[in-house]
Amino acid sequence: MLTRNTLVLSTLKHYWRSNLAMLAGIIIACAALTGALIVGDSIRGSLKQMTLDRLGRVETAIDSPRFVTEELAGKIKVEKGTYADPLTAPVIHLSGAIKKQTPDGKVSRAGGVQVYGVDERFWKLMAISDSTNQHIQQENDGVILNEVARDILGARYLDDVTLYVDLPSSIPRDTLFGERDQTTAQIDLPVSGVFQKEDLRASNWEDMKVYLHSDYFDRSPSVFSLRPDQTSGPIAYVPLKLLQERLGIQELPASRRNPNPKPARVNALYSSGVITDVSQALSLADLQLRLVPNEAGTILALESDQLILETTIARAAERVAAENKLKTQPILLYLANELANKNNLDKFAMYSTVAGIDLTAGEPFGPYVSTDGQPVPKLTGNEVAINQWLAEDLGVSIGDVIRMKYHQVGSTGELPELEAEFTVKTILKMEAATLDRGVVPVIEGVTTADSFADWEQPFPMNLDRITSRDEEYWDEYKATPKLFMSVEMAQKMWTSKYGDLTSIRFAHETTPDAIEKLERQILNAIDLPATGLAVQPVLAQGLKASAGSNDFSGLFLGFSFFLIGAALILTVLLFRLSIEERIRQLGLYAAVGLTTGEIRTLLLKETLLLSLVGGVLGAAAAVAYADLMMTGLTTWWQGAVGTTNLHVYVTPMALITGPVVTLIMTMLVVWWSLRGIAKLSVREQLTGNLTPDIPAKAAQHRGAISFWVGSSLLGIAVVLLMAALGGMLPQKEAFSGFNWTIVAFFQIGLCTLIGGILLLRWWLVRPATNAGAARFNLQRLSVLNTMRQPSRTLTTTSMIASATFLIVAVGVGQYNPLAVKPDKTSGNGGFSLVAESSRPILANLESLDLNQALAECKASAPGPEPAATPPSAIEGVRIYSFPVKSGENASCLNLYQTTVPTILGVSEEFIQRGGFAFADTPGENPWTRLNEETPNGNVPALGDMNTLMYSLHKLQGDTIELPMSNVPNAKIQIAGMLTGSVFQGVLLISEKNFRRLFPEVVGYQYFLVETNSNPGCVPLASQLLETRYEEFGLDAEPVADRLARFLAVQNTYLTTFQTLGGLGLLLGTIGLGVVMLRNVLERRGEIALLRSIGLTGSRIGWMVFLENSFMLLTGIALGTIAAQLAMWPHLQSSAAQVPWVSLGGLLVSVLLVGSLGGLFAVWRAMRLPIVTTLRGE
Amino acid sequence: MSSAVGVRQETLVLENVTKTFETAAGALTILNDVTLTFQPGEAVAITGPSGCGKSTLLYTVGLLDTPTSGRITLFSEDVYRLSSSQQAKFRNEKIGFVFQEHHLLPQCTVLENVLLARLPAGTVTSEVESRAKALLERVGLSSRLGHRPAQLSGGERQRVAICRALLNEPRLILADEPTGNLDPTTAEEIGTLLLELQAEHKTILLCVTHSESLAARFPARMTLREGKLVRV
Repeated sequence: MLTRNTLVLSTLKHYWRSNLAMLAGIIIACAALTGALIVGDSIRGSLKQMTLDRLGRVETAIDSPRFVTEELAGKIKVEKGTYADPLTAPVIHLSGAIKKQTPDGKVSRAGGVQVYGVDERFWKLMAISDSTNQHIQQENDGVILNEVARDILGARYLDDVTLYVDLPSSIPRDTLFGERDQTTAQIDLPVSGVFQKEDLRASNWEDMKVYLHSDYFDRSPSVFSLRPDQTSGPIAYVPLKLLQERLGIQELPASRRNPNPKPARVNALYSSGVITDVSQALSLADLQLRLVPNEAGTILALESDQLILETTIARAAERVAAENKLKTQPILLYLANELANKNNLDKFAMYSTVAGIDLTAGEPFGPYVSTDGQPVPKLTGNEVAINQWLAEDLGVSIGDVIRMKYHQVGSTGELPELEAEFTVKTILKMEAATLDRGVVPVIEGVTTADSFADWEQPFPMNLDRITSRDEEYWDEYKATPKLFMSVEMAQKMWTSKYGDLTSIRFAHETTPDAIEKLERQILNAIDLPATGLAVQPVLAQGLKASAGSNDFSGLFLGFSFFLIGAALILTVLLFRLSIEERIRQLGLYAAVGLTTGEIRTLLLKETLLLSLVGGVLGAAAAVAYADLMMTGLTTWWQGAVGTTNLHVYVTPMALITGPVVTLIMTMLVVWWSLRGIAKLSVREQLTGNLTPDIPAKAAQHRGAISFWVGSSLLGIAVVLLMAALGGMLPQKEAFSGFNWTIVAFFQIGLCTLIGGILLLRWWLVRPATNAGAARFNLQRLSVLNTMRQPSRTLTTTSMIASATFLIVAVGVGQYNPLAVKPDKTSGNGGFSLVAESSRPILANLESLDLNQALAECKASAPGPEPAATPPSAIEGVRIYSFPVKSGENASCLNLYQTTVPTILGVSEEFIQRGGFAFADTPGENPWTRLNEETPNGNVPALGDMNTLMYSLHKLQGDTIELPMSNVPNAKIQIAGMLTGSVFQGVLLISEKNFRRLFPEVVGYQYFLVETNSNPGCVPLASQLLETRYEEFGLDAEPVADRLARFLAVQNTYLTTFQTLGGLGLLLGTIGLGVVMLRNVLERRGEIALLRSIGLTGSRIGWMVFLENSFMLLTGIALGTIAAQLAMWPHLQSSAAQVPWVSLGGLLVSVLLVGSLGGLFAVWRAMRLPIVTTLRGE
Repeated sequence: MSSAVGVRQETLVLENVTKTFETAAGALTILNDVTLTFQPGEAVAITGPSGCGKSTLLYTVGLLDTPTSGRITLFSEDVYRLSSSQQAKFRNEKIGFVFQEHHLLPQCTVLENVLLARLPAGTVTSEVESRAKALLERVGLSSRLGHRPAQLSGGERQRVAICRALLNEPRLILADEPTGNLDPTTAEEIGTLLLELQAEHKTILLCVTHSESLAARFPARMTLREGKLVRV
């Protein structure tokens, strides 16, 4: 029986052809929309899976430059987290380099290698297979590489390779007693295996025959990293004990030669549980600290293997003393190269210990007794107390002046010798506290040496000036200080970035219980994260970062915008076509008494049913679409994601959200399109008249407005064009890194597009003129036909023009940095090479003499290159060095959400040099902003616009916390943005601020090289640097190559947009076919008439084809011309990388598909029966 | 039929109805100050040259077009003061349309096409269904209830359209060239049927036609000239 619902169903069934076409449109829209959501979910899901793969079963970790005792792994408290039976593995984690040299002298190097010293506990965390474990146990004397390292080195099983890693030094290298020469451990090992991500045995048997005995197919160890990054770098695993031995940090039991046993050390603890309460498990030994009792049992001295007590530890010890009301004596010791009588410089003493100390501290630290029997006074300023021995040596008495020569430690470890003068305030008797050796911490190789000749000091000594008196003193008193000054004076002269004291002595019992109690109090007071022993919840952090740096759902929704839009428009066009075909029915509905709302409800119900079916089918198609997109991302568009390890993850949420949103959008656009139908009177509907009568005057008025506005816009475009070509535009930045010329040309393009569309509108609605009999032909009739439905023609043409404009403008926007020469104001900043080292190079390479390096290179490796190269080839080369605080890779190459990026320190020389392109950062030299002070004390920083906006989601003025800084609550504040620079992925602060925030960072790891114009200079400088610093794993590459890698992401996204946008445009041209069909069906009577008066089918077809081509060609031509104008400055640059072939192919495809649509309309026109149609009219 | 303004409850009254169209050449008056009253049971044929406004008059009376000025009172209701939904309800309950084109829904059966007139009112009761079947039987289509319009001849389709117009027992039937698409024999049949049913249901029937033979069979005839409705 007839009800409204049965009517809806029977209508759907009756008009199944048009409904099927509409359904196809809904399916496409739903597939593209849901597919984009699935792509987002898939990338998040893949990143999450990669996080789990990357970490194995590691949930929390301590990973620090500080070496703690290996036994801490067993003592540390671990609670169960994600994984059952939590286990903690001690690991040595270093960054290094590997070299492989073949017998014929060919050398391959891998820098930035993550070297892990591991044992079976780590392998359990990696959940490796039993067979792998068995293999590793058998071959425990070599290095296991991951496939990345293997491929870089070209290494195979049992090949010999050399590992270069930092030799752990208890004393910082950039302090007086820090080791400078022996900084590298060079470890020769055979390759005992390779970890591979995929098991290729089944598919790549030929390779497997070669690697059969050594390849392990375990994903986690092949990609292991604590840092969230989807790309894995080179990795080398070395047996823990072997690495400890080679680094000299293995366990040393007590022996006759070495009475103090030494524990084995590691610098990382990885756990499959949640590490809690580290301080309870720690001992002072873990922090390389010790409490040393004096013989009298009255004093405990807190000393460090580093010699300097770190600031955070010293302050913690002082707090403990204050809380327990313990008397303390802080001491800062230094070594004077020479102490001389200013009045008689022939009287001197060499290599004497001087102490900044409070001589009035009293018992148990004193008493200090003066030779004149007077109480020892408190020293201030440059007053000093000297012992009787020194007074006799120098022949000085109270009031005389002593000249001191000493090494000052420079920022890069250099040791200039300075002088200072002091006045003798008092002379101390050689007894009691004056001779207390306890004020001097033990320095292996120095304080333990038998004579000066036996010193193993890391700085040059002038042994010739050492006198017999000096030797006698050493024999009798060793390093006991000869000269004393106030602690404040010593700190003023010798405070380093590490600390300002060498020991703190406590008036304290020295029984084992008392020592343990004080140790526990000090450990509890230390801020462990500030010492580098922070527990990182790496699993939680990794999973959080898996949310991604960008919303890929949104990104692909943007890319699919045209496709979704075109599908919806097509759906609406088909809907309108269907409605118009049965417009008389709608009139009848009204005539029998259905209200407009009721009729609309009937039609919306039809659409709803179609949308529901389309949603279900679209969701299924979405999975295929997403699969295609993911295939694209791992193949053609891999440059955007840098990994092939992406998989489709379908979530119920996406499968529900996509179809629901599609349904809502379809209903909305259909409802909107019905407004046009509602404007028709019932009578018009009943008679099938689809053109509502618009008063002629109103139409003319609208046309006039279009003419004047369109002409004005074209006028503006012409004026701007003349101004730009005449050089009248300011040559400076307008906004966001765009200069005025670029902005002007984009305006020219937009004005041309909009002006052109408006003039087309005027032309379509202008009053008809009589062209005269001579000009009235089929072509003119075609053109006149486009004016029958001006709004329809205008909508179609302007949509094609706008889509063409966007796709062409985006397509031609691709950029090739390889074509850009070094230019100080560009993204390369005028630099040709960028180099990074795996380990810090202590020296600032700004002072590197490349000619000397060339000479050394020639001497060490004679051959055609670089031996044949004249020194002039590298003249004028300048290197700028940057210290690096390693953080997360925040460049667009990293898909993970990053929060703490890598930070570089910028030297004052570089700041003054300036250069690079900036966005929204005023000032002649924006680099000087790094030296400005912010009102809130934040450290000003610069960063690349892409990094800031898309990876870190920060803008100018925003702040970023620095949890890895030793300065509490340290923050950096964005003071400017570079644009398109080589500094993507990092933030830059002044070196001065850098050293303050990260005192533990030694030397430099990032280098930019300015070369001369000699074409051979770049490869030569690159080769020289890599050779000279091979043990530091220095890897140099052209700046253009690095920029190309960064831009590959942007260019790939542009290609993706062009591809999907092009698909949308193609779909849109099918819509054009539908419009043509509507035109033809509306004019069926007219066409029948033309046939009845003798026009052949082919001529009528030609007329319809011309009409279709008019709209198509006008749209494409207008869009293309406007886009070319908009992008003109870019097209003129040498770096423009326009994909002419793909763009041209796309536009030709649009033309072809559009023409095919037109031909379909022609075919339909030809099928209309003449007589019936004529009678119907 | 009378030109008097004094009316009974069951009448159709047109008072000073004017309908003007705006064209490029200026205002074009189709109906010019038409004042008329139709009584129940009246059947009037309206003739006139093409484009004189016959159909406009019919659509204006049938609430499908709006007069530029004037008032139309249908059965004591000033219909153009009703809201659009009230007008739709009024149209459904009080007016039946027969068009030159039958306007049958191709997706529906003969019976469903008749029942379509009941759709605005809601569900179709068995009583309504019986009435539809009775009407179809009356017009000789009781054997074609389940057929689709495509399976019917032109005359049969128009009979279905007449049944649809009569289903709600309207007091006013408006027929716009009901035989315009039919051959003379069928046209005569349809004309006869229309008049018989009008007489049976005692409705007002206004029929616009070019057909002299059809007009001649109506008890009353009017012609539209220069916007004025004149008795012939």
